[in-house]
Amino acid sequence: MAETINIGEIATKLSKEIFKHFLWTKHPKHDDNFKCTNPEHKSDGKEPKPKESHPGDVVFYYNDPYLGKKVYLHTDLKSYAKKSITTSKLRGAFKSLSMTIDCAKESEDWRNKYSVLADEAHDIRGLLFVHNHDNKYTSSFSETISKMDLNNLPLPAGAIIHFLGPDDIQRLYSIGNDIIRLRDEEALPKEYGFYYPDLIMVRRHGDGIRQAATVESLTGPYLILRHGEAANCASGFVIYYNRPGASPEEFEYFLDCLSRYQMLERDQLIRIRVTNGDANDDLKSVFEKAKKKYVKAWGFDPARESILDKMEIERITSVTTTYNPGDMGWRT
Amino acid sequence: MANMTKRLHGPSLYYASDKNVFDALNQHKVDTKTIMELFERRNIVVSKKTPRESLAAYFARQIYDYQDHKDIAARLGIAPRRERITSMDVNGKVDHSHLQVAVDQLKVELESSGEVVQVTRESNKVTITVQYSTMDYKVSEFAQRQERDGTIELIKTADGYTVRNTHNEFVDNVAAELITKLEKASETTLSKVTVSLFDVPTAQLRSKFFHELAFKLPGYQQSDVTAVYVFKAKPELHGNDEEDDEDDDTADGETHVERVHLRGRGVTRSEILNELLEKDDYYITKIAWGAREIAGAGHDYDIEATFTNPKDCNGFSFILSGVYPFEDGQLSTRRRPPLKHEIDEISRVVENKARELVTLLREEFKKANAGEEDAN
Repeated sequence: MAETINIGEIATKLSKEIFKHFLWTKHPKHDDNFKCTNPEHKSDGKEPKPKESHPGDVVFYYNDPYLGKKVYLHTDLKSYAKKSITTSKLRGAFKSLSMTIDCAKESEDWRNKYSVLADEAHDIRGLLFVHNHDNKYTSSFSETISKMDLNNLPLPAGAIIHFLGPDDIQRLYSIGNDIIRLRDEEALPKEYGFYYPDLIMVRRHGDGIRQAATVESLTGPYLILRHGEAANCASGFVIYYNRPGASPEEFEYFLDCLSRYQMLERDQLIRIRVTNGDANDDLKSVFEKAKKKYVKAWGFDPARESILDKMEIERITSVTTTYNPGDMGWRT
Repeated sequence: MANMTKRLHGPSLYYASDKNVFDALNQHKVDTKTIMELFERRNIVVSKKTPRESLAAYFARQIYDYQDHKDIAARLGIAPRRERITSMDVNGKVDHSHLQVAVDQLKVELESSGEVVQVTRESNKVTITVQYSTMDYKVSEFAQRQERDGTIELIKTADGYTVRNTHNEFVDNVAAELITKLEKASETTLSKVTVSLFDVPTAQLRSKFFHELAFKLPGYQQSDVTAVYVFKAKPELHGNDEEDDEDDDTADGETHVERVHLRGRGVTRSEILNELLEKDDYYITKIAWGAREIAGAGHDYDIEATFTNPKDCNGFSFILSGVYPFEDGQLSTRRRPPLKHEIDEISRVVENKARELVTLLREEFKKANAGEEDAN
């Protein structure tokens, strides 16, 4: 199926409203195909024919802090009505994207189209973006995914596909809005980056300033934004917390993560912004309990305890995306 | 508490490092499916053709949450297992008020070192449940710290109390501490009666203990013996002369099979076992058997009994490892975990029978010895 018009418009809008806030860059080329070089890649249907090309809606890229190379996300934009979000439809999308990535990883045509320099270390991955345009899809996308067997996709060794479902898109859109809001209130400076500390088996590349968020951390449990001073806030961290806050143990583990990442320091402001729509009603008291348990377990002194006490935990305002296929001619 | 393990580390939950996660995911107990599920929770699909090590390294670079930690730990198979039970009779002038003092003191001390303690009193029984954690640095990082429940039951008897507890180093120490406190509170020295065949060094009599235990448990009929462990201590060398030792190494002393484990069906009827016991002076130190209830529901109970220290035959413990229920006129083929009242009942009969046998075998040994001396 050929890409329909206005993909460019949608891609630009997505980039501006969501991915720009995570410091991703969008490649100017949209809605283009590249040559298929694998005769095993065949179309679906009664008489499968070898594919001539693979589609490409938009490519986003950023520098991965741990890999020390550019990650290109070859993105397939899907916008479905609630009734179309089915396992068979998704399986088709995953299968097609798997073949696309298989070819893209070894395609000179792809590298030329997306301006990858010959000597540039890079990694090409798939990103399946599944938007629900009638806003009626209320079930959990991950549950739908878990019903599918994704083990047998035609994905070559080392290849990776990321996916974002309606609830993820909603959450990322809300985080983008939260960042705009904080900046508007001067509670966050214009310049910020995402935080990736040195690990034991791997060290961070680059100076860490203006570091983009990795696609993994957008769908991971916590996304850590690091910022300097602004008119209304000290320097520190904003953590987008994407878990339900169901038990003190969950928060204790989280606090220990911050401690391991050397973030529990006196002069650093820590703001936790809960993004999970299903988060516990009693969030604040569960968090308080976790702090107390954590302080007791490690035998913290009052000075160290006061650092934990200063942490703030809030929910972010959830904002609904308004991408309407009628307005934008989104491919359905 | 002098002999109890103090808390040396932080809390049981701590953020695993990328190296810990990498090592854990490379263990064979973690299958590729589990790793793929961990990725799926992060909206990531990886190829199953990617080598395990690469997948482990990729996942290890991510931030983890409590759920990931639990999933990995569960996969590494550190879900707590039911433990063996050991028991001891403490006899002397003690009453309920002494016990109350001792238990309260123990509770305060345990709680101050961070353990969670619950005490339940019934008419003739006090149950103490201790939640505690153990460290084992020999295993994978995810399995090193384990949270466990240990129980100590004190059951009133005519002569004092039966102390029945989960058999492991920690709970054994707590039970010993409790008995010390009980002695202090009652200002008496209590006689401690344990099941031991230390003073019955004859192989035949030691084997007889397990035979009788499995075959003559009152109210139960032996249905099968599925495992027998036999033991023969390495003969101790006489004389300290080094040259003698060297001679031994090159001559007779060079082979010695210390323990033999036999597993299967009808093990006690096997010729291999009988030869070991009759000709070679091995003795039984552990037995696993099925005990079918004669009256009552008619269930079949899988019991295992052993001496932790096979050489001296002390440290007696047992476990009711499972139950084949009698349902709809036949014995089920599916084994289920035992219920609390079943554990209590089996513990009671096994303990009683074991004590009775120890007394009996001591008598028998004395008689035999006396007979030998007479003959000499």
